[in-house]
Amino acid sequence: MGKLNLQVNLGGLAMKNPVTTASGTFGFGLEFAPFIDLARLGAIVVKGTTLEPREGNATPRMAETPAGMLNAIGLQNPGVDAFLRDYLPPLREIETPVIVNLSGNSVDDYGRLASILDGADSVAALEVNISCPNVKQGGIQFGTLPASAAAVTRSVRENTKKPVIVKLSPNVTDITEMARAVVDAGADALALINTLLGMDIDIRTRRPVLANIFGGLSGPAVKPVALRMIYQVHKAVKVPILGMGGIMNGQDAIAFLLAGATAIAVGTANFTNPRATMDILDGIGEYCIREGVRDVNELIGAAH
Amino acid sequence: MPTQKTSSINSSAVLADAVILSQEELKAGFFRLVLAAPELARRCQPGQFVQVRVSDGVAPLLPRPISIHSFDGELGILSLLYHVAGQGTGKLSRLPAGESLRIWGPLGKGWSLPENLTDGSAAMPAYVDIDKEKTLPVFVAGGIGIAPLPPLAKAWRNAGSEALLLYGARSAGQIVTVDEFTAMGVDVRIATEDGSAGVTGRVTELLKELDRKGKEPLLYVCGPKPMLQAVAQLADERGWLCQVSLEERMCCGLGACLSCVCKKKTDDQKEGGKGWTHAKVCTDGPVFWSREVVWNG
Ligand SMILES: Cc1cc2nc3c(=O)[nH]c(=O)nc-3n(C[C@H](O)[C@H](O)[C@H](O)COP(=O)(O)OP(=O)(O)OC[C@H]3O[C@@H](n4cnc5c(N)ncnc54)[C@H](O)[C@@H]3O)c2cc1C
Ligand SMILES: Cc1cc2nc3c(=O)[nH]c(=O)nc-3n(C[C@H](O)[C@H](O)[C@H](O)COP(=O)(O)O)c2cc1C
Ligand code: FES
Repeated sequence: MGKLNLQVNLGGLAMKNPVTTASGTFGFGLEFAPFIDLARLGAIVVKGTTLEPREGNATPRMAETPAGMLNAIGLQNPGVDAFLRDYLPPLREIETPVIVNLSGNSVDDYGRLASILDGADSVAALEVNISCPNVKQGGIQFGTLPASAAAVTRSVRENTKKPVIVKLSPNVTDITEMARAVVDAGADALALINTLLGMDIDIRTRRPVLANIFGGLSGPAVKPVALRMIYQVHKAVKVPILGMGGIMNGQDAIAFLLAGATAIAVGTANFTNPRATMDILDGIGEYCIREGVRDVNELIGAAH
Repeated sequence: MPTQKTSSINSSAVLADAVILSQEELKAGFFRLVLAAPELARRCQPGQFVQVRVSDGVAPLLPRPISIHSFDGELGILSLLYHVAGQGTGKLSRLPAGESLRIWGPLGKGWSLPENLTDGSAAMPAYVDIDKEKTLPVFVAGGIGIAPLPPLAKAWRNAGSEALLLYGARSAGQIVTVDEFTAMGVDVRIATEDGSAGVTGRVTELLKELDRKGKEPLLYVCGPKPMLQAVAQLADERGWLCQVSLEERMCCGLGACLSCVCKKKTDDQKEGGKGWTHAKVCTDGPVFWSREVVWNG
């Protein structure tokens, strides 16, 4: 049997394999260096970045839930200038494309961020977060209205030549409507899903657990929702999908590819096993060999 | 505040399937777990912690951060001291010897020690420019906050320094591992709120009557937040140096998820800054100088 091909193309971004990291769960990449070989990743997606530095929300910012977790970080980040100055240079040494996840308060912010990042050679692609449930401004409202989602996408598209991946919010009635709107506005690829809006209540104190009251649900609990949405979106639009939401192992990753994802991102699993990305990559390879799959691209959307 | 010469980051952390050598209930709800994890044990520094994955499945999903109670690089073992707080620690307490447990670490920046203090065995954490000859180390623990203190006490005692432990708890049932400190030659004073052991009252009472032995006290504090705050305030009033080990809800423990932040003072107020920033307890701490911490808010 010939060599297994794991290379995929995510809307113009060539990846050596389909495994990436979910924004916000992998820091700026080097945090996991003691445990994994970063060069084996198909791409690294870094923490959500904004024009200005942000301190994020008050604590507690995290709560564990059955088979999942809620977070309300609130996009704490050092701002795009500090990112480019302090965090990007060491990532350049690694033979893995860097995807920057960006967020703004206004359509204009997204455009400005895109043009700043367009000037950074070692940024391989932009992932546009129009779906963060944890910030009052610039978060969810862009991701829940097709017109504003399209406006943000257009603004980014006009300001960069790099592949534009738009990350959709699952907190909508019809995900395919959102997908069509951003693809028509120029998205090269789609990422889904971001976290599902949720909450928890401490029955002892009779108060919400998170200081922010609401948070974003991620982890194994959201996997069925993510798979369903990826399946629907794969049917509705032609662009490739970066799939995520509860991927814990190689088998989960295969299910996402079969549903229609071209690449997958590992999020919450990084917390339960700092080697999760490597184990998932190995798991994908093992499945392919066991099932006689020579090219991982054969799997994409095969469940349809 | 003394300047810090180095700070430890996670660059030396490892993932280990540690074999449980023993699991012992010291007092109701308080357990000591001894683990074989040679690679990890060799890298530990006083005040660091490990992430402990209690299940293979989804309940509980996230690892639990637990301080390193003792480590021996030569024997390749470390121990954890914990009290059962809920699901995760409850499940941990039921694991028998012989089973293996997935842990990763050592994580975080531990206690800072004077530059001229060497212990000979373990690599020391962040050194600071204070003179050990003129310093009296005072360990202040509240309840399970005793957990990360023995390696620190050992380092000071091995360097021939006098040392004091002030240990407060609600009652005698929450006082554990005192003999570990007395065996090292640490002078131990106990306070309980119900008077069932030592003097009646809080640990701050013991601190107020501190015999400084002609030296400058350096406080190393771990316990519930109100206690940390009270001790920090007292230290501030008296001009004593004070380090505190903070706790926050953690996911990654690696500085990646930003769930574990605390407010740390900055000196940017003059330039119109807000005077604080969010620091990560898992990698910028868990140990901070008490004067760096914004206690209210
Ligand atoms: C750096 C660090 C070191 C620690 N070292 C020790 C140690 O050496 N020994 C020890 O017994 N405990 C230690 N803890 C606290 C320990 O992590 C929590 O008790 C544990 O995570 C609770 O898990 P659980 O599943 O049993 O409880 P859960 O069911 O998760 O929660 C029960 C209750 O415990 C409290 N709790 C949950 N998570 C935390 C947390 N991260 N910090 C504080 N309280 C929490 C909450 O009030 C919650 O309501 C440490 C925490 C940190 C951050
Ligand atoms: C702690 C945390 C922080 C996150 N921060 C971001 C972020 O900054 N930008 C973003 O687009 N998504 C963010 N997300 C969402 C993840 O990238 C991902 O979409 C989601 O967690 C689902 O995947 P998972 O179940 O594998 O974690 C965050 C998720 C978590 C758990
Ligand atoms: S626990 Fe993730 S940043 Fe501290």
